[in-house]
Amino acid sequence: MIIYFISILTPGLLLVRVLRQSRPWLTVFNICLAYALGSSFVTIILFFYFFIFRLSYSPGLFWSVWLLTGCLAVGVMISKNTLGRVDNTQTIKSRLTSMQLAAVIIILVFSAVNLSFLFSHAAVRPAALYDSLAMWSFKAKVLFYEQKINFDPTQDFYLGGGGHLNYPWQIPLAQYWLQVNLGVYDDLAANWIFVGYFLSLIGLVFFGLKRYIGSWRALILAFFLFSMPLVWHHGFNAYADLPLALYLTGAVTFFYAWLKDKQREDLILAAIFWGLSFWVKDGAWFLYLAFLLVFFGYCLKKCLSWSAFSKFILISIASASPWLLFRAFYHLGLSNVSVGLVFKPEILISVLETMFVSYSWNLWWFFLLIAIFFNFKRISGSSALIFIWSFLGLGLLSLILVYLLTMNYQYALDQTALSRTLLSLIGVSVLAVGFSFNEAHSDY
Amino acid sequence: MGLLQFLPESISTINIIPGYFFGPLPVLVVLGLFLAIFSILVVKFSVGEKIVKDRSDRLLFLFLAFWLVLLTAFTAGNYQASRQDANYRAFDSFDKKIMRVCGLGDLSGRLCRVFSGARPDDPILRTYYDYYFFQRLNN
Repeated sequence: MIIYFISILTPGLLLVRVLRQSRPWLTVFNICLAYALGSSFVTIILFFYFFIFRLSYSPGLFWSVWLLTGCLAVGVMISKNTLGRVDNTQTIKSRLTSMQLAAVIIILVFSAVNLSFLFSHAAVRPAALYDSLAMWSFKAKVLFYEQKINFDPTQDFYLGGGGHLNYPWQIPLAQYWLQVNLGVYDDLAANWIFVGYFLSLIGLVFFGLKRYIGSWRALILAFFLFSMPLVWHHGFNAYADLPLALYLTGAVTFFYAWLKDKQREDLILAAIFWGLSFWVKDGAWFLYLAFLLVFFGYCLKKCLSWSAFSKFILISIASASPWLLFRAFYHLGLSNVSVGLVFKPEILISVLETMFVSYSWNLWWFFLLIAIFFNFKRISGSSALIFIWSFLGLGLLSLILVYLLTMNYQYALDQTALSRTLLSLIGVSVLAVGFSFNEAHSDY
Repeated sequence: MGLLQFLPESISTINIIPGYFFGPLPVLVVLGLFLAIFSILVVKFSVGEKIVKDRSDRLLFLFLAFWLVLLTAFTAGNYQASRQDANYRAFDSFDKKIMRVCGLGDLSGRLCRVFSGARPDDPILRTYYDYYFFQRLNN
């Protein structure tokens, strides 16, 4: 299992060094980024190996991954070394009051206790939840034992089998890569992949916010994210929603940094994270369109340049293009339900129920509304904050519209998919609230 | 639902964690309304407060205090669940699967039968069967 994590983090850290040349390299923030980038790097190689070149399992599979990682290392070594030369990161530093210190201690105690429970569950509870088996783990198991992808439409395991041929492959391939490194299929071990995504998400939010609002506030908000019951449970179960949240959170973190500082590498990273999100879960489509709509509006109002807009689209679509072309070639649509529009306003009750009555998020959505109310002046006065909040609002709306207007409404009414769909935006919502607490001291 | 019950393990798919109720009243709504009222009071009437520096910090303290109420119940539930983990450790991988699947309650125990019968007709049960017995089915 250690080899799995090394094989993910090594190319991830090399990619971080290529993509963030002007920043310090081996930081916790970059390790969190590396986990996401490395997961994509390895699974995209596996995708080419099995789906594009149609190869069967052989030692060549390991050679492909490690050889390309080696090429990346060589590329980094011979490239111009600007490592750590510029660091524009400015964090807010202040002494903690006694009450803040007490809060930090409470947070650390609760975090340590619940983290130990998370590790305990990950260590002994094998995959057993229906959608995680049907959508994400079954394909990994089929590939492990069949050793290749079946391209005969008349066969049971055509394109990997399972009930959702059109679903992206990052999660099954990540599980496959872990199992093939173990040498036996052990679905208990797969839990640790998601522990990795969970910790990376928390780290990304903490360090992404720390830069703007300081350690103490960032710690509280990252703690809220860590201890939301639904997020926590996805931290050791094989679903795609939490990994998608990680990629979207990365994209928004870098896009906000670009809005504030206009550093080119931040825009590139935001676009790459958006593109990589298409490999994780189809929900990325709707959220990407919502994001583009806001971006387009800013360009129309001349707040942002068309050049940046076109670069963003180009890089994000290029990052997703192999998968998008593949699914177009094999006529794999987006829908799993019968096509046609409906109008089911009753799902709005389900939306309110999951946000404000269920215990999935603790009190998070109440916090968010209160934070908007009390920070409204600051939000409305900041172009960058309006962008992030507009995206969050449109993103939520787009997800709700999918349930409101399509046959997917049944999965909102019976509460079998709605909450975890919202999970993909939870990291972005924490960032939006956190960014809105920026420059709070200047108010008084 | 008891406050200390480990709820997600009672369902076969993690999509929603049911809310707590005092009779007909959802606890989350009651706490949320109290939080909104307290937030207004804290922001409007505590000017000059020396303990915390500004409005944002006061709000975050308030959020944290309310958050910990439900998080304490969640942590206690997790503690109960983690005591079950100790039982899991003694078993091999396949027995752990049986224990976890049999512990998922929302299919009225039907999931358990996956391990003792032929390939089921029910599509949900068949998914479990195909996943757990994949190697046996195809060799």
